[in-house]
Amino acid sequence: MDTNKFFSFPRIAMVMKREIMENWKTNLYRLIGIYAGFLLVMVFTMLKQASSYYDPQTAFQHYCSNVLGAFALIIGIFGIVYAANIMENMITKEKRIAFLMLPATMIEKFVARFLLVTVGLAVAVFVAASLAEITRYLLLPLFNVPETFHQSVLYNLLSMLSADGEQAYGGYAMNMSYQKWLGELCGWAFLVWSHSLYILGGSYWYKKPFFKTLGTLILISILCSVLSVQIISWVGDDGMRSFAEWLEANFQWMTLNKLLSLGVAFFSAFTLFNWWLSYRLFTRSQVVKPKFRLL
Amino acid sequence: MIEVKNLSFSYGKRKQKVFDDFSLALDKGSVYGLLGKNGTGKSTLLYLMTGLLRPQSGRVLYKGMDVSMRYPLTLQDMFLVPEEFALPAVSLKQYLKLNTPFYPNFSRELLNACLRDFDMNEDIHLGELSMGQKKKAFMCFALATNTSLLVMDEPSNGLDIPSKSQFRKVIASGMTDEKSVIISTHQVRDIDSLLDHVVIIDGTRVLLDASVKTICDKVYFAEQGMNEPTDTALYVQPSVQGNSVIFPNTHNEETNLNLEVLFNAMLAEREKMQSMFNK
Repeated sequence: MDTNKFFSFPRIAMVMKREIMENWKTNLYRLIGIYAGFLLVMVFTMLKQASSYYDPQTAFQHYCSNVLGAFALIIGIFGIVYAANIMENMITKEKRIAFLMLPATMIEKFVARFLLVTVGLAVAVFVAASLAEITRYLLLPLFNVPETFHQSVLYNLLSMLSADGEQAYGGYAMNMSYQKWLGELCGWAFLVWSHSLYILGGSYWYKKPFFKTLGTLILISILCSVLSVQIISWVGDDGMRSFAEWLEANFQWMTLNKLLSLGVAFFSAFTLFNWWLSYRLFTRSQVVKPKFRLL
Repeated sequence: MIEVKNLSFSYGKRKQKVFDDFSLALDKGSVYGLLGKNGTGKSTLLYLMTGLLRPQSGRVLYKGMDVSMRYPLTLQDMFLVPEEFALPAVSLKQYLKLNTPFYPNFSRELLNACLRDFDMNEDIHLGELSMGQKKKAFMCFALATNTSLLVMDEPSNGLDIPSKSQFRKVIASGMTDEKSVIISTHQVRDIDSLLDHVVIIDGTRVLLDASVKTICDKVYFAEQGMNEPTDTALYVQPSVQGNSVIFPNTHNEETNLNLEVLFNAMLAEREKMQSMFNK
């Protein structure tokens, strides 16, 4: 393979190393942010659950469930914030010059940034969660909590996730049965697609990409809702009933499993499209005028 | 070494063109001075030459490769020192560790020699330097990358007086027959002794593209009193002592390039001066 024109793994590693070390302060602050979020959830939920009327073991299980939900929320928020900041090293003219002049191919630079905001986040979450768990252990003597709370929370969270993953029984919705793994796959495909929207937003807007992407998505959602309501009112009750009957008559073959498969295919295809478009925007980037890329 | 072919560029479809069918070729082994009035596109040309901007039509080829493709082989063989640049808040040693692997010809000897010339050493922290010191450290890194092409935009801005002469020294000492340096600046007195070749651009045209030897063979730069005759002069510019004058060098006299006067003459007496160099 021609590494001058396409791909070299050692060079990606070099770009990543450079990005991590030269922005060590930003990376450290973000790690501290995740750690602080995890720790606050762990400690405050522990205080609340420890004083509940449940028996200690049940209280601990409730505690773990609550922590799992809060962790998912924190990881989700940081996930999209990280994704939106994929091109934060292009925010100023000086930074754009430094990054664009770096001797690596555009795909290598993009992949390096992509890995930093995805795998990099996973590493930061792992480190922050471990540190939060250690800190919780250190703080335990300060609180009067039952002995059950001296167990590892992270181990319990992983056990819960693992047990959930092993439950391969089918589900039932919309009067149709479906395979649970397909439902989960569709859910993940939707999450990755949502994440890819922030990658795309971050590749388009260099300044305040998170808020601009979020704002745009909210605006699009409102427009779609208004449009849907308008269409439904235009079609009317009779029209909607006819439409439902038409669907029932012509889509007998459609099962929930097929619908979920279509969902997986739809979200995966649009995820790939968003990634491609993000990369395309990056390859078109120039030292001045980011909007110039679309010409 | 670098060829600009029929380049057209504007900052937007409705904006006036900065370059229109613009062509230029630069050879290796020379220090080029790129001069022009404010807003004539000097920095834009440098960005186009380094692939940081893409032309609407035409191409910039560096050693036969299109620079807008931004291939590693091209990027590791050219270095741009912009007027303003970003340096991370890390030690110089750390910066070197992270960035030198991208430049296969990087020379530690060149770096240390340059740092010595600027009274600096490797034990500095880039986040704790003044703007001028940062510029010196960055220029040392740029020189040490040992790239065939070094492009500098207003390199002497922000440098103190001793550093300006050191700057000339380090550029001259780092030159080889395989390297080229392009310097774009308004501070012509800082670089006129350094140049091998002068390129003056104005809008979409190249007003002058000639070696310093050719310029000095064809014209003679003189400083003379107010009452001395200037009848045969190509250009006269009032100065503190009297007049700075450019004459045709009919007697093949030795003369030193006065870049400021030459630049003003090219703008004021364009046709007369161009006909002189086209002879």
